[in-house]
Amino acid sequence: MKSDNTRQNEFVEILLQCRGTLLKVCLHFTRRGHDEMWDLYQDIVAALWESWPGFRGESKPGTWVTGVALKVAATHHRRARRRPDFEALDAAAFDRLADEASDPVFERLYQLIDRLGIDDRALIFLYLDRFTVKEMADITGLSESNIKQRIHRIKLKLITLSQHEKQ
Amino acid sequence: MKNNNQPHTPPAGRQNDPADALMQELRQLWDQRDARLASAMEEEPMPAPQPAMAPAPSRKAGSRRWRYRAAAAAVLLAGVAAWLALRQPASAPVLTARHLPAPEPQQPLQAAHQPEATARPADRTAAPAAQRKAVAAQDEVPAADAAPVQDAETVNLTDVITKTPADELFATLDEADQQTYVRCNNLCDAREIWTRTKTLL
Repeated sequence: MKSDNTRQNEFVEILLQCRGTLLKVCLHFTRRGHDEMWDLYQDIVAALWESWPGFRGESKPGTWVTGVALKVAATHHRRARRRPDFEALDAAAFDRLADEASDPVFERLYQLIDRLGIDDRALIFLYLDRFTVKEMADITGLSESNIKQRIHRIKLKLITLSQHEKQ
Repeated sequence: MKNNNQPHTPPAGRQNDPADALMQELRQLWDQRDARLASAMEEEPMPAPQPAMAPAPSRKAGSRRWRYRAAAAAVLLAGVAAWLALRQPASAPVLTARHLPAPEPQQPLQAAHQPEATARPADRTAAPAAQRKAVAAQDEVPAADAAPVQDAETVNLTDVITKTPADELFATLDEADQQTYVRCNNLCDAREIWTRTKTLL
């Protein structure tokens, strides 16, 4: 039985490894405003902390973090509920990272993905982040064949959107 | 960041597929953005978010603990109260004649000569009492205890009481049976006195 301290250190370590993923989720599931991204980040970390005792390491930590983050992002409705307060995240550093990620160079990437629905956005996020179909199935709870079909439709939808943009 | 463990490159025959071309473009942008994020994180490592508090035990568990403590305290208090109650008889008021039912008209005479008889209910002491005393007089008792039985007034009273049917029946018993009856009757008296005493307490 690991001590609480050890478990907490493991949690922070995983969070550090996956903070890029968390930031990307914040970028893609908000309008990239600082406050909104910050709120979503806090919600995701709070949800991860709550579900941390149930994480038994059967899946990769990155898969677990991404799954939780996408679920929180998809249901990012403000709910008045008590949650642990997470501190010591440097807001200035968070701002700089967000600025780097939302550089106008990536405007096309955001514009296209922003037009997708929440479910499709989560799937294309996983697809572009190179998750395997099996991992996507684990995270979303959909069957692998369903995921393949959906990704195919998303691609077609993105082409249509891209063509509309060019016109 | 997700590792590049899956190339996701379209097959050679589908290189010109517009969907795959768009995906390639998006993936390039995705990877560039990842690289930008990674370098920014290396330049300025973001402090680890520290949970301000560990998951606190639920309120239910806490209140349950207090309930257990309250129950244990109640049991302890009950034990102390019971212990004090057990000690109480030592200082309890002594049973006196006024705690017992009023004697029948004949009783004061008997009571005057035998103070211990006042503790007995009248119905039990009425008929066999005189015979009991007569038997007791023959028993091996200390002379001091036996002395009141030899009182003249008691003998007179015995003459009156032995006229009752119960005493007539008692008189038909042989000596051994009479002694047995007296002993049993005394035992019953003792039990009844104890019961009444408890009721009064």
